[in-house]
Amino acid sequence: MTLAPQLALRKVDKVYPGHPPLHVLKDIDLSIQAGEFVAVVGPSGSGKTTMLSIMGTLDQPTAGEVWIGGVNAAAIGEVERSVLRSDVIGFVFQQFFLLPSLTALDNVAEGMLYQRRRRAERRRLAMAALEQVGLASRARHRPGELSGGEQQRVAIARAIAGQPGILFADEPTGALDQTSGHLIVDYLRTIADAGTTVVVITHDQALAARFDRKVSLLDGAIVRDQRRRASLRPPSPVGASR
Amino acid sequence: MTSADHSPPPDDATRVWPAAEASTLQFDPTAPDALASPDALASPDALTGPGALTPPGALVPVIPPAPSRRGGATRLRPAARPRSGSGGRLGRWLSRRGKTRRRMFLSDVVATATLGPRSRPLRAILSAVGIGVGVTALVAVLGIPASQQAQLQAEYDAWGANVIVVTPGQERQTGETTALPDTAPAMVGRVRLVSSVFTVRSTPAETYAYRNDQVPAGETGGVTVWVGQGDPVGALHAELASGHWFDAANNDLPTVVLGATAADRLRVGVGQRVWIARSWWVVVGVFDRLPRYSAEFDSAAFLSPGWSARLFEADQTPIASIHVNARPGQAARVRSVMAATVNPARPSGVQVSDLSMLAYSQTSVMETFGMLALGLGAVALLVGGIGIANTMVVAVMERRGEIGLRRSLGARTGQIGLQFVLEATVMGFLGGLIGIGLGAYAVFCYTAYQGIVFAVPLWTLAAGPAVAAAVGVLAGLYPSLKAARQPPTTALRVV
Repeated sequence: MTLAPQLALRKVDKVYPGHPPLHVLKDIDLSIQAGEFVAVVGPSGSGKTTMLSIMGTLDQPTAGEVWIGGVNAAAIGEVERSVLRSDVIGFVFQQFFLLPSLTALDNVAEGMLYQRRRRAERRRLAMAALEQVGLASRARHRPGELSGGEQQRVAIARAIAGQPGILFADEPTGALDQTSGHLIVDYLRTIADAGTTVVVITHDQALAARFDRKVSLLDGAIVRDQRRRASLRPPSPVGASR
Repeated sequence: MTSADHSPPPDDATRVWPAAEASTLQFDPTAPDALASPDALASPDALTGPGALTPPGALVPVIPPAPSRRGGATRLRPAARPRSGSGGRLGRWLSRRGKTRRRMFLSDVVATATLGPRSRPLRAILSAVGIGVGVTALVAVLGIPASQQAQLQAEYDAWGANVIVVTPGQERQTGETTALPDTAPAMVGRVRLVSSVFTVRSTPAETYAYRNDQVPAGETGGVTVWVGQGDPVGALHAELASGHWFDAANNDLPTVVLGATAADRLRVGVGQRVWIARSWWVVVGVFDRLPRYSAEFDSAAFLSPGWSARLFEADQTPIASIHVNARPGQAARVRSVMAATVNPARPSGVQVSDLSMLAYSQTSVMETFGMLALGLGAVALLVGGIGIANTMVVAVMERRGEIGLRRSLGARTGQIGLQFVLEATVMGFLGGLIGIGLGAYAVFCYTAYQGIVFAVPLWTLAAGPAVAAAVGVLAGLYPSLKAARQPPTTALRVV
């Protein structure tokens, strides 16, 4: 049985207006299945972050389609996209973006603020998510009292507490030392194994080697798409339509 | 192959759709393999045509079981056929969810709006203080006259209701002032319902009181000189702080009774002398502060009527006013007969007033004064509003990351804007609370110093925070729009 893609970019172009216009993404085609554990690699300026923003509906492509779970996010309204972001998509950022005045638990609970869940339910789910990243004991601590690695784990807990189908991470280990970075990747893999699609941007090739699939970007185009366990996945459709 | 060639999506009855509680998207294993025909994915107008939102063979959302109720088993629901002409089933699902599930709980809205002030309390309070000063001014400006009014009312309620003041009136036709006849005090005293009468006579022009004969004539100290006759204790409710009023023993001697302010200015007390009309007068009594409605006599010196009659010609001391105290409850009747009693020949030349009129004239003076202070309060509010706007602009710049994060968590632009508008409103409201506290305290201090009744109009306690919150809304509008309009990618880009 073959699986349909959960996440697909179709002929996605992104041009930033200017003199001259900046063609950041060129005709990107990419399909990602549910539960895949994907690294997007490339030098800075290759369009990784823009691609992630477009996949995560934070940005709109200039042309092309962004299919997320059967919905073309490029063709729906901003309100619907915000629903996708709150219910279907989770984000982890390099700078964590934890709110300094809130405890770890409240930071995680804040991730479900726009899902119309009651505070008690949010906190219960947040506690479960903190347990998943091994930080239940630090629930009452504020971000300032946590190490960088712990802060990023809190951010991951925030992203997964609402049980999203897809998790995007933009250089999640960029601000961390190697040990903490490896631990973060281990947690992300656990999340992927539990069925959540995980797409991670990194410029670190060594780190990317630990992912099941590595998509390489250069100058706004996909130049390579490698799978480590190819036998478990269907072949990539990249370029098949041309 | 052009996009117009794409075939309509297959009607797949096994495809399932999420119920309102769906929160994840999963694969439908029964969907045909999309990868076999990638072109079919390129649907050109995803929002038009039935089912266009679903690329053929793409995954479709599956209802995840509610774990508590169904124990984790996935239940597939047969799909209803899509109605034609709409945005597709998932589109409808999304828009319905958009309407029904996107609203935040009020408690969360409040908690989010107060997050900024709570995490930076000092800054919030300092920005609120600007507005607080404005509200303080407004409350004080409204509270001080209100206290004076309340004091007047209290005095009026105590005994002022019985006080009637008779003064020379103006003829309507000629505009001339008609002097009150010398017989008037005796006539008034004979009215049965009158309990006491006090007559105030003018003294010749340029008659002033001095501490001694060495004081230059120009330094009058603002002390007015009158001849006082009758019963000031009964008619003016004047209490003597020391000494006593004229009696048979000193009436025919050069004696004087001073108001409290006059005694202060002349720096004399009972038993000492003052220099009036080129002769020495002995102080036999000093009044306490007079009730507000007769406070003009605080700075007066009253000469003994017996000695004055010897010193001045009769026409040099015309009657300035007659203060009449009616028996309780009889003020209206006394008032009605007063003009004819005082001057039977020309009742129209007599002006009769009571305290409610005096009270009115006093508050109007306070209102003129109040307009100025009211303007000052408005300026303070404006400055306070600018302070809050400034704080909010800084907060929006500082919290760009938070704004981007919230957008990535699914906050709509409106929710971001609302958060910041409410935050500014909270600060304004806080300023309003500070303002009514300080304002009420200022009024309290003033009334305590003046020894009068403390009163602040209740509506100002509600209006203060309301006005301050409104200023906060106005101040927060621009920064909030700025916050809401930030594209999430810009907000998340940390330089």
